Amino acid sequence: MTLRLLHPRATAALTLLLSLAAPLGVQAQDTPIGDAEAARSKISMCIGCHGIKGYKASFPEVYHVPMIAGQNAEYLVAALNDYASGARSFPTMEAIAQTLSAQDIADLAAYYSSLR
Amino acid sequence: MKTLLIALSGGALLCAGMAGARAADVEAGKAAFEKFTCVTCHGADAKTATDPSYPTLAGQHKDYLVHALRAYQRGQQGAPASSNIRRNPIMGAMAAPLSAADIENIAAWLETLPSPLAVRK
Repeated sequence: MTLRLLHPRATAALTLLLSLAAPLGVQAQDTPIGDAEAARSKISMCIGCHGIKGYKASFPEVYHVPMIAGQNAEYLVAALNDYASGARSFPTMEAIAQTLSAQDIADLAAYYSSLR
Repeated sequence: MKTLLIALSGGALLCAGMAGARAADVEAGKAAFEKFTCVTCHGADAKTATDPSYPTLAGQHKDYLVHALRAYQRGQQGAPASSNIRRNPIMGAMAAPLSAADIENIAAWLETLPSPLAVRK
């Protein structure tokens, strides 16, 4: 039984399996896990608007900026990615989202969603 | 004096009318939230979405919700990015049939709901 597993054909099959598994590892790195603690040094650009009670945006109409504390993490990631890609247009948020790495976005989403 | 009384009672009636309209708007908003099947994804309480990539709407600022729905409508109509748009195949299709009154009513109702959202904690 053991001898069979060590057969060259078995080794080849194992190598193939490993090579198939490798891209999965890369994919996992593409969607980073958010670290709420790490976000504390990254929120300065957020709190200047979203952390001020009564703060309003004025384009194309005047309205309160949204409350993001307590919002769903995955939604916050989707919203920031949409601003970065231009699927959502708003000058300030586009500019900020484009400066954020995928890790930054994950961290900020983890931080704001943890405020419940 | 008579003119003043008429003016005052007219003003009182107007205020009562506005208050009545405002109360009705919230109820109409709740009905529209169900009629336009918003509940299917966002949940009947607007804070238990069926997918975590959908937002909690309960308690959000009314004027922001109005703005967001209008932006989805502009995106769906193919407006240029400079006019402040949101391009999203799901929300574009959902927002398209809403009238201005529907949007006002839905947003007014959502703002009244208990919510985990806050400006800061």
